[in-house]
Formats: sequence, C-alpha cells, structure tokens
Amino acid sequence: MKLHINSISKSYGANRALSDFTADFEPGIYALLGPNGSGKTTLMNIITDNLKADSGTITFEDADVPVEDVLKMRERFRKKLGYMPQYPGMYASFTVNRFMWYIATLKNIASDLPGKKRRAYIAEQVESLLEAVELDDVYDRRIGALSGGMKQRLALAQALLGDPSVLILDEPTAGLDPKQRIAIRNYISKIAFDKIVIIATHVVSDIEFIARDIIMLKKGVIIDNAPPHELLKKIEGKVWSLPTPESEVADIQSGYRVTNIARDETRPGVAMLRVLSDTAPRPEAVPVTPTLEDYYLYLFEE
Amino acid sequence: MITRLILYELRKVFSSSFVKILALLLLLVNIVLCAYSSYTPYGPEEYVDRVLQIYYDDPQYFFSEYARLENEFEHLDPSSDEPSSAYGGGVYYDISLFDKVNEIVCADDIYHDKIDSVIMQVRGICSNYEKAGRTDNCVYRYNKYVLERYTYLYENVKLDGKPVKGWEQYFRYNADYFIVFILITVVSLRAALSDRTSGFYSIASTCRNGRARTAAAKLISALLLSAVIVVLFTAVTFTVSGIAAGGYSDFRNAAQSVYSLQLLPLRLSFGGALAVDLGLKLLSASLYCMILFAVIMILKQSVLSVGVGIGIMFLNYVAAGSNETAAGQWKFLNLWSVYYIDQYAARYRAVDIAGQSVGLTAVLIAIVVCVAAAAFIISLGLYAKNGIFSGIRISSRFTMPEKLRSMFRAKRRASKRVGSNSLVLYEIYKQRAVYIALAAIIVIKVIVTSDYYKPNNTATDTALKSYIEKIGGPYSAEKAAYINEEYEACLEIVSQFDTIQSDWWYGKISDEYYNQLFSRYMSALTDKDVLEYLVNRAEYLGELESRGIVGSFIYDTGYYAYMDQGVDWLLLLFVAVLCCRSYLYEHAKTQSGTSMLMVSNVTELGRKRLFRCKAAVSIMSSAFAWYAFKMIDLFFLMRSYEMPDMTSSLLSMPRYGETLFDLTISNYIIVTAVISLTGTLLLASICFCMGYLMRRALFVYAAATVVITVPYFAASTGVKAAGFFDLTALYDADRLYRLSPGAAPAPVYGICFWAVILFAAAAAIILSMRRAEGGELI
Ligand SMILES: Nc1ncnc2c1ncn2[C@@H]1O[C@H](COP(=O)(O)OP(=O)(O)OP(=O)(O)O)[C@@H](O)[C@H]1O
Ligand SMILES: [Mg+2]
Repeated sequence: MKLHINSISKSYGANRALSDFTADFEPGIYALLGPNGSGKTTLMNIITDNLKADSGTITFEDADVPVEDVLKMRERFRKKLGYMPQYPGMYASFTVNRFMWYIATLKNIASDLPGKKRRAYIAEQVESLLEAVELDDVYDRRIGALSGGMKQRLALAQALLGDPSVLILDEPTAGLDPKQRIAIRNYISKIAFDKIVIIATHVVSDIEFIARDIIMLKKGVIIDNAPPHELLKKIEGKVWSLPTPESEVADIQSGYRVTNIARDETRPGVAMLRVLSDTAPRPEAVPVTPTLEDYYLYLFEE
Repeated sequence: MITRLILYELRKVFSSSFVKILALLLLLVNIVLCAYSSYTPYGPEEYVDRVLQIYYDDPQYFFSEYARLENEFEHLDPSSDEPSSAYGGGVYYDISLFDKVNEIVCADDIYHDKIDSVIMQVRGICSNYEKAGRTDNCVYRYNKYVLERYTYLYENVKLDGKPVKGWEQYFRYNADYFIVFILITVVSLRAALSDRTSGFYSIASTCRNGRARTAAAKLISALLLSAVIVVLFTAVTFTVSGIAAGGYSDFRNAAQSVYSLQLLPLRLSFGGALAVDLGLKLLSASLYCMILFAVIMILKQSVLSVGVGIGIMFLNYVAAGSNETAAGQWKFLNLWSVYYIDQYAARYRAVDIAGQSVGLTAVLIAIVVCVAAAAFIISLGLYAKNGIFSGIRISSRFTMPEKLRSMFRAKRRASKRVGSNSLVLYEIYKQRAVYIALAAIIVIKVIVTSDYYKPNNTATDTALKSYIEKIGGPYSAEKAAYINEEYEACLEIVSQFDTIQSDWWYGKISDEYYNQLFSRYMSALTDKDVLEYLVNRAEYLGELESRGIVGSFIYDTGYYAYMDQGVDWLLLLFVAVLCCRSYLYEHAKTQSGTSMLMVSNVTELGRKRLFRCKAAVSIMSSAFAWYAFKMIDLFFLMRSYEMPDMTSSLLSMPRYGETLFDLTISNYIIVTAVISLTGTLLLASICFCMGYLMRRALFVYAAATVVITVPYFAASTGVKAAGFFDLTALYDADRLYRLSPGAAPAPVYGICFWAVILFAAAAAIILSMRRAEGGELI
C-alpha cells in the first residue's frame, strides 16, 4: 500500500499555503509537524478532496488497486479513508450512538452482509470504538452536551469506523487531558501497523515515540522529512544543561535560545536551564541528549 | 463612546457581502418594477399639449370649441357615427382631449367644487348634531375639525392649472413596501444576531461595554440602516418614475393637483408632499425595525424571526385592505398605509379615544414612542440574557421530571444500541422539527378548510341549484328562451307589487290573498338575481354556440369555491423551509468553524448518494404534503358542495371564454392538479438547490422569500409582467391558466412561463449535481 503525493501546491490569493509538496507514505505513522499556519490542514483537506489543489497529483496503490489518481477513484478511495478534521462540525442534536451509526451508514460499512448480520457487525464496531475512546458511558448523550475533549474523541472514533487503511488526523489530541492524550496516542500506535496514518500536530511529545517519519513544514514548504532519530542527530551536542542562579536567568535568555527552565530541588535559588547552542554557553554547561522538542525549537525559533 | 460602538456595528453589517448583494438585487428589482409601473409607452400627451396651446393662445376660442364638441357629442348616433378626432390626429377623440385639457386648466375650480361639497356635507352633519344638542361626542368633534380644516384648505389652496407630470407615477407606485421591508429584516437580523452566530458574542459580552451599550448600539445601527435603506429606495423610485414619465412638473404646485391626493388635509406643495411621504416611510420602516428587533431579541433565532417579520409585513398589508366599517379608522395605522402618503393621508382621519377625536398622526407618534421605548427596554434587557447558547429550545423548557427520565433511560439502555442503516431515515430525523411542524400545519389546514367550505345554504344558491336541475346540460335555444321567460315573469311580479300593496292598503284585496302575493313577491326577489345570472349565462352560451362550441348550464358554486381558494401559503412555507434546510443542515458551522460536510464528504456515500437521498426526501415529502393538502380540500369540498357535471365543457364558464383549449371540466381539474403539483415540486427543487449552493441560512431564506413573494406582490399590485415569474401562480394553477385572458391565448403564456422556470430549475440542479461530485467544498 502506498500513497504518493506529487508536488501539490495551493495558494489562497497571494498567500501560498502549500508549495510543491511531495512525499510518499507507506503503512506506519507519519507526523506533520509545523507551526500555526504552515499548511498542515490545507494539505489534509486536499488529500481528502475537501479542497482542490492548484496543481499536483495524489495517487494510491494497493493490493487490489493499481497506481491510480485518488480524484479519479472517488468512492473507491474514500472507502479506505478515515478523516478527523481539525474542528469537526457535528450535529448537536444527535446522540453519540446515533451519530456513529449515521457515519457508519455513510461509510457503507459491511454493505455486503445481509441486514441483520450487518447491523450486528456495525453495533459491535461502534461499541468497541466508543470503548476505546472512553465514550461508552455517554453513548446516548446529545453531542451538544458533550465537553470539548469528548467531542474531540468522538470525532476520532468516527474516523476509525470502517477500519480505514488511510487515516488522516488533524490535531487529534488538541484539548484532551493528559491521561486521554496518552490513551489515544497508545491506541493509535496499536492500530497503525497496517495503516497509513498521517497526524498533523504541533505537540511534539504526541508523536515523538510513535512516528516512523516526521515531516517538518514551514510556510507550506517541507524543510525536513526523516525518521526522528535522524532528526535528532542533527542537533547532537548542541543541547546543554546549565545550572544558573535565578538572578542571571534573564541574562542567559537574552543571549541564547533557552528551551526549558526547571527548578533545581537540591539547590534553592538555582535554575536548571536547557540551552540550544553550537558551543557550550558557559564552562559549567553539560551536554545532554537532545529531544525532538529541542529540534523543533531549533528549527522554528529563529 | 456609544457613537463609536454604533460605527463598529455598522461596519459589521456592511462587511457582509451577502447584505450588499441582496441590497443590490432588491434595488434592481425595485427599479424594474417601478419603471414598469410608471412607463406608459404611448399616450395622448402630445395632443393634449397641442390643445393646451390652443387654450393658452385664446381661451375664448378654446371654450367655444369645447362647447361645440360637447354639443356634437350629445347629438351623436352611437350606432353609426364616430366622434370627431381632428385634433387627436385621427387617433384620439377630440372630446376626450378637450375634457382632459379642461380638467387641467380648470383644476382649481374642480378642486374647490369638490372641497365645497365636502364642506357642505360636513356642515350638514354638524348642524344636525347641534340641533339635537349632542355635541359631546367623537363624531361631532371629528366633523367640526374636518369643517375647520377643509374650510382653511378651501381658502388657501390654489392650483395653478398647469399639467402635472411625473408626480402621479411617483405617488402611484407602491410595490416597494415589501422590497424595503425584506431588506430591513435582513439587516436587522445581521445587526442583532451576527455576533451570536459567529461566536464573537462570548468575547464581547465579557467586555465592559459589551452588553447593554452594545445592544443599544445594535438597535440604533439597525434603525440608521433602515433609514438609509428607505431614503435610498425612495430616491431610486423618485428618479425612476421621473425618468419613465419624462420629468416632473413644477414641485411648487399644490399637491392636491394629483387625483389621489385631492383630499389631502394639509396645505402642501409637491415638494412638501414628497418630504412628508419620506417622513411617513421613515416612521413606518423604523416602527417595523424596532418591533422586529425586539422579536429577534426574544426569539434569538434567525429563522423564526424571519417568519415573524414576514408575518408582520403581510398582516399589515392585509389590514390595509380590511373592512373599514369593522375596524374604523384605526385600520389606517398599519405599516403599509403609513408607508404611503396617498393611503395614510388620503383625507383627514381621526380615531375615537374616550369620546375625543384624535388625529391619526398624534396616535402614530404616540405608538412610535411607545414601541421605541419597549424595543430599547427589551433589547437592553434581553441582549445579554441567557448566555450564548440560548434561543428557543423547547426541550429545555419542558423538561421531564427526573424520575420519569431515568425510567426511560433505563429502558433504553436495556435495549440494544442498534441504529438504522437507512440514509432516508436519518434525513427525516434531521428534519424532525419541520415534520412535526407539518403535523401542526395540517391541523391548521383542516380547521381553515372546514371553515372555508361551509355549505352554501342561501336562498339564492338553492334557487340556482333548482333551476340547474331543470335546465342543466348542454345549451339549447329552448332552454335559453325558457330562462328569458322566467326572468320576464319574475320582473313582472316584482314590478306589480307596488300596485298590489296599494290595493291591499285600500282594502281592494283580502289579507289572505295579499299574503299569498307577498310570499310570491319575496321568492321572485331572490329568483330575480339568479335568473339575471342565468340570462347572462344563456347569452354567453349562445355566443359560444355561434363559435361552434357546445357549452352547458352547470351548477358552479362549488367549482368556483374550489378554484378560487388561491395560494396555500402554509404548504409553500413548509416546502420552502424543508427544502432550504436540507443542505443548510449540513452547511451549518459549529462554534469552532467547520461544517459537518467536511466529515461526510470523506465517506463512501457522503457525496452523490447523500445528495440524491436528500433530493429524493425533499421532493417526496413536498409531494406528500401537496397530496395531503389536496385531499383535505377535496374532502371538505365534497362534503359541502355538489360538483357540476364533470363532462361538460370548461368553456361553459365565462371566465374561461378567452382560453384556447376546449377541455371537459374533469380534465381541467386534473390539469390544474398536475400543474399545481409540478409547481410545488419546482419550488421544492429551487429551494433545495439554493440551500445547497448558497450555504448560509440567512442568505437562503431571504432568497427564497424574495423568489416566492416579490413576484406575487408585484403582480398583485398591478405589475402584470411579474405574474410570469410568480411561482405561486404555478401552484394556483387556475390563476396561471387565466393569466392573460383577452390579450393572447393564456396557455401560450403559461408555456413560456414554464419554460423559464424549468430552465432555471434544471440549471440549478445540474450545477449542484456537479458540485456534489467533488471539488472545493469548504
Ligand atoms: N479558507 C482560507 N482562505 C484563505 N486563506 C486560508 C484559508 N485557509 C487557510 N488559509 C491560509 O493558509 C495557510 C495555511 O493554513 P492551514 O490551516 O493549512 O495551517 P495549519 O498548519 O493547519 O495551522 P494550524 O496549526 O493553526 O492548524 C495560512 O496562512 C492560512 O492563513
Ligand atoms: Mg490546521
């Protein structure tokens, strides 16, 4: 299975939201990482045919599909697609359960089974998905009465209906509490082995350990496309831990890029700074193992 | 501070391209209607001017010539001679040209004669009251004031005897009421609700000036915009009628020169009348705007508010035509009458308040002040109430007791959580509110219809029925002769009654005999009307026979009742809302910004199949509603009336005398039913496509209202061309069939009309199909 995106460009008037985006996707999790306005949502809308690209093509290839343009495949591609938009609009008056059934109907799940068996199949799938996103106990609540995070999880659950082989998630963890965040992350990594999963986010920790490749986007242009460990190599030896008296913190901040400030529990009045710098900022600085977050800040905070 | 807030509110409304487009569109409609109603392609003006010149050159000669023509006309043999048309270029009769010029040059005398007759009449009434010593009541005071007022006018108004140009056209035009009020509705809605729908409200309301002051600023900006709209549209109307009429005559001349303002109780020049007219329009529009704004604040819901707004507009229009004796002069305080000076101030009007006669204008101003106060109190009080998600939510008003609810819940939980796989059922579920409304509408329809088809038990109708029993069926000369004889006999009886009465008075005939004759006279009196009707009918059928068509005498009371029912606004309302909402439901943006279509577009059936399913559900539901309405009509019709012989020719009824095809009545009823069904379905598909293509609720509903009502009102205020764009005429198929009797074969017009509408509908459907296939959808 392979999704090939070939030099997609999109402008809104004079504003170039995406230029010449090219990438290949095979089963696994891909992270689309970039600051606000870098074009992540635009790309996802184009893949899902909610938006027309100015130029470029997207092709799909699978055991049962020879290489084919997804715009020509229409229903056949959408059958394999699951999409969670960034700010999903859902019918406020539907209950959670009814909404899932509605989407299942739209997705035409198990349409080859006879009526009764089909309903049993869908019922089971709806139930297990709602359990997975921990919405099972509110299944007959109106969507309008759900909390923000609950809506977000419902939007994820609907995307997963019908076991899609290409899953497009636009900031799936926005607005979730830490526990849910971890649960969702684990769930996604669990189901991702035979799917192409594309996750847009700017929360690095969400994808740091589960992504197979990370695509860094900046103003619509790819500036990096590599597995996390390769990205980390680029800043090896450039991240320092520096104990500083609290009075001097501001000083350091004005001269260097400080990615984190922690209190040193053992030494009151001293802060531990995490500093990005090609050379040691002070003699007492110790090099530390870089994280993806350091790299993100290294790239974007200039 | 508040002025700056107002400026921001104005900017918010103006920033909407929807408002701008709609305003332009309506302005265009207004220009077309106004031009159409003012434009007279040719007329005797040129000849009138020539004759007028004769008067200016030598008045003596003019009057002697006028006298000669009058004399000639009196001694004319109408069967052989034509009046002369030497001055009229062989086209217009001299006598009518001279009449017209006489009217112009003697306008002042004619006016004073007229006022004089009013004064004499009123003086008579007053002196009667004075003689009876009953001067402490409203009628006396009213007449006393009228006397005073018109005496003043009699002494002070002077008409200059110059031809009037343009003003007639300007004051006559009255189709702008609906256009202007629709625009005001939209603008007020935007001003009142746009923050709520965009979600900005939750930010604004936490700011220091975000509540009461913002509400006041919104109301004031809505009022300002209404004023701008009125001024703009009036200016356009004034310009267009002026251009169409070829300019205006002197604005300093007295307004009373225009016929419809002859009894104007104010001493005004045309310029003054124009100013007063504008003032009245502003009052009417601001009244409407304030009432609507308060309604919006209470409902906090755009669709319902638009409904109420249209209701207010419509009711006021209907009130203007209501029965004066029942409603008194209060009826002139409706928005429609106030909007036009020649309606509102056609004569001096006052109402009875506790025995005092209070001028209408005083009452109007009091009403405006009260409404303004109420609107501000309601707006300031309610704007910030209830939080962001408020609005009318019935379910939260009538909550079930917790105990009951938990019972239901337990039961539901126990049942398996199996949903449906039918897209159709989901569509119906999404529109459940509209379907519930349909049930309510059907109940209303039943009540209204059962009231409309009351059995006609009048003596006249019974007489008609019994005569038709005798002579019903195909026309023949014998039947016509029989009717004529009966009629003569009847007239005889009626005319003899005077002598009979005096005979009885003088004791020449016995009481018994007299009573017998009296009852014969009474029944002849009712028969007379019926027979008159039948004699006319026989004459018409005779003519028809000479054209080679065999008509019949039929009992047509029930038939007319059925055909003259007019438009079923309730049905159209249901169809329009259902079909507009079909896609609006998907386009609706949530607080966070994207619509549900983003999700459903990415599913296998979410585009083409969903589109087809929605289209099918909308069309089928509309057809079902139409069917239900027709069945209700037929049920009550059959219950109360006998139908005419269905196999006789449609042309048996004179109203169809000019139509082209000779159908049987039963076929015609089927034809009208089919046309009416098609009309309903076309409306359904147009609304459906608008909902799909335009996406925004306000836009769609406003467009639907314009498409449905503007041609209807334009047509009903006399712009005949608008009739061909009138969707309701398609629903009321009988009106369509008879759209243009006399001018040209009606069906030809009907077919042209259909072609236009079908083309538009097909184009819209194809366009939306293409969009459903894919492409840019957010
Ligand atoms: N409908 C639109 N009209 C005009 N410009 C748009 C539209 N949608 C997005 N843009 C512009 O396109 C660019 C990319 O936007 P996009 O929504 O793809 O960013 P993003 O990476 O998803 O950002 P975020 O992390 O905030 O979701 C931005 O500059 C944005 O202003
Ligand atoms: Mg985005």
